[in-house]
Amino acid sequence: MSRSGAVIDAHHLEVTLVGPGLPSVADLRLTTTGDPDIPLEIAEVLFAPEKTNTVIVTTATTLDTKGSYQLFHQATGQWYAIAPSLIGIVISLLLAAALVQNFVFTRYLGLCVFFGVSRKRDTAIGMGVTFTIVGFCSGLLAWVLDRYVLRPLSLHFLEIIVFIGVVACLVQMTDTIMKKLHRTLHKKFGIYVVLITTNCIILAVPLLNAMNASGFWESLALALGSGLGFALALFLMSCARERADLAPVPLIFRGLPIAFILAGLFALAFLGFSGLQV
Amino acid sequence: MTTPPAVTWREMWRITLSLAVTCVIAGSVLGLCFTLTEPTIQSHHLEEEARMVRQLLDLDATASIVQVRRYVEEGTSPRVGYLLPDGYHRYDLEGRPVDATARPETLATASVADLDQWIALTFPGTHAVGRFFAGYHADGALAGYVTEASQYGFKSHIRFFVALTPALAIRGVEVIAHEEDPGLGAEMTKPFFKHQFAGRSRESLARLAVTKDPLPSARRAVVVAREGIPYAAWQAAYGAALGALDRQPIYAVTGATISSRALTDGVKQAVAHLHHRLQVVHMTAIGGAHVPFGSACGYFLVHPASLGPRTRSSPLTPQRAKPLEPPPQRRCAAGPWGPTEVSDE
Amino acid sequence: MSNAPATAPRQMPAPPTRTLLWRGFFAENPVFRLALSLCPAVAVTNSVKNGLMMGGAVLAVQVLSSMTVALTRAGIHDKVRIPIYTIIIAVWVSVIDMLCAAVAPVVYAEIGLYIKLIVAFAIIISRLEVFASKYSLIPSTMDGVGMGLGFTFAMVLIGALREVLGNGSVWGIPLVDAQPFLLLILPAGGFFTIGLLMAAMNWIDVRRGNPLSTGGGCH
Repeated sequence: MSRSGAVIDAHHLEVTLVGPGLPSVADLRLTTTGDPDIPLEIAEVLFAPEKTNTVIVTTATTLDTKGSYQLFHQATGQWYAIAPSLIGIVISLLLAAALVQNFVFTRYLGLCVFFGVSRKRDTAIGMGVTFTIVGFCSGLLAWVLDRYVLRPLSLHFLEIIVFIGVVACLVQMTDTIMKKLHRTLHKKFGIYVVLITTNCIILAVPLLNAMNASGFWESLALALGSGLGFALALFLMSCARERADLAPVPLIFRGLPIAFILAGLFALAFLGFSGLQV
Repeated sequence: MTTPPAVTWREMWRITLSLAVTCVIAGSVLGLCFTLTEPTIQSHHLEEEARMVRQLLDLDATASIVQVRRYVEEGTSPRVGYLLPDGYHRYDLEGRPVDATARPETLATASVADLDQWIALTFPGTHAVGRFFAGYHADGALAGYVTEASQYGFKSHIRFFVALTPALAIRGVEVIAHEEDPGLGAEMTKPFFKHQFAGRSRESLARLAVTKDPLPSARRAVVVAREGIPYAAWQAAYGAALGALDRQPIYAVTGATISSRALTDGVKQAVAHLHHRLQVVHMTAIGGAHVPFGSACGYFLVHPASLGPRTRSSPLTPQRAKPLEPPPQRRCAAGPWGPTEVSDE
Repeated sequence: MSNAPATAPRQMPAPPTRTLLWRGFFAENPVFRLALSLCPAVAVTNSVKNGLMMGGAVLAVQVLSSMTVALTRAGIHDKVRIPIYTIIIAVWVSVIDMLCAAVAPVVYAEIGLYIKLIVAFAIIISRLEVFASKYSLIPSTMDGVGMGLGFTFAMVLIGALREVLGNGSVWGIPLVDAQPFLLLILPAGGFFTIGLLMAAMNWIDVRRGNPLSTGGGCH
């Protein structure tokens, strides 16, 4: 059953049918994918303007724009899947991981590195870029190992040791490859690569994926989104700290205490993202 | 960056060997620890679930709880399956029975994971999608249902249990897992919000609305009193106040209207779905005739006396040692089937 | 095994046990002073119970890893000591993780991820590298206990402040039927609490006439 339609809003969905002709309301059976035994009430079916074989189904029940539905046409025996597009799902997961569930400000992970390298904007950008790339690779590698080795053999109690091994190997490999291929790049980013091992976000991503038994695209979105979210947090924080260095901060607050207060303010601001739906 | 001194072969072997030995020791220590702790973790999990169901239905230790798991079989002719105490029953999407497969003797005391695997192997393309519990008093009378559901809240999914009377009025709602913000969305787990559902009938849920108005103090007193006391006692004490319940909306948590609305929608949907499915499961039991929900004759009724070797006799409940009279016209109690998962402790 | 006997001459005399046990609380507190292992310090400290459980887990991992390294240090090849330390920590973290899940499932459901993430804590591996790899069993254990207790102290302190002020309760028992400063149990509250506590520690230092160590930070 390939995707052949999409939810437009809370009461309308659009489906491209295989054959011509307008099916009657009684001829269609609409359900969610999870509950195929419970039909949703359809109010009317109309042809979509300026599209061949495409109908707009109006429902009495409220639809979830992010949900997936299936439509059965009883006269033809044809099934239609109605779901958000893959790109839409990945983008919404990506934004959720980067903003709504930002790893630094709402899950409080990676704080050591976050406070350590956010003093200067240059270092923040360097760390952000390096971390996003390495974190993405390690997230995918760990997902493959989890899905095709640990899970089938029910060795999930080894996950901590395996994931940290993956991260350590990848960091070592990146360092060596960069050193051999591009000396200037290594000079600029080498130090950040070594620091990645102490960032718990890189370990939290595979652990969360394993805990939620995520699929490939979900894992990909979390791996990339976590890196982007970390880079964004680091950049924002470095901008704020550069300014705080010039400000007349009370003596006892100088250095880390004021950085924590700033991080708290950012966390409050990020609270505004929760509930954001794409 | 100075190049490290060349490593001799001898040294390389030593390094490899020491790493390999460390890994082998690490693996065995973890394996040992896993085999020692896993049974405890699993039984804790089951006990916690059984405790929650028992508390929601005000059941004592002599009662039995049956978990009914629901499966979906994908393909050109999709099926919905229910794992009942006597075996696996398949229905078509309209709720008409297709076939039933008895549970093999070897799986009489199997875990949920093993049963899921058995079903997935027997009927390819099948996976578990949901479940509900039915609780029975020691005399076999149906105490009520607990259904599990989830709904997208403010930040992610809220997973919750809804406890219902045999007539499908809400006894209570309990949030199992959520990621709402503490102090805002997370307040929905507090008595003043979650007990606003208690006492409502299935029919009245369709008209149930959520309001942003503050919770009136008179209503609050009734709602909060539900915490920690049995449902029957609460109804007896506040019966007069509950009379006008149909006109009472759900008062949203201040600053968390979306979470409140999500949980309310989820509860409404969960009850409607359970109602739909109980009709399917009951329909087969009595040859297609509808049975009122108050009837003690559920198809998936398991009597404590029929639990067999899984029943642990407790010194506190000596009456459980002697077999109890099975209620009349119960087809399923004759079989040797244990409860699907959660047995009484 | 033969090239590094237990009584290696390079070994410095270990500091007295009293110092080992106490320095983790104030002078070298992992959270407030060294700014290490911050993630759980902000994440799980919205109640005393979570803070204590997390502190206990870190204490156990620190002590057990220190003991393992102190006992096996003669056999660990110098070139691969960091990977081996990592494996040792990962093993103990996994063991503690499974034990917590078995013993306290309710609290574990809330802080499980953060217990697993102890493996990435810089404080633990730095104690192994700086201390346990150089000293014998007893001082290494004491050092581990001191650092673990210092961490637990910080966690319980932050947890208590946030729970009392944010939720109006201690150990889940309500003191007042209100939430005086809701902000403190919100995500941002952990940052504010730690920032203020760090400032308070600096203030004590200034009052005592010690030179102020601005900055800190792991790297």
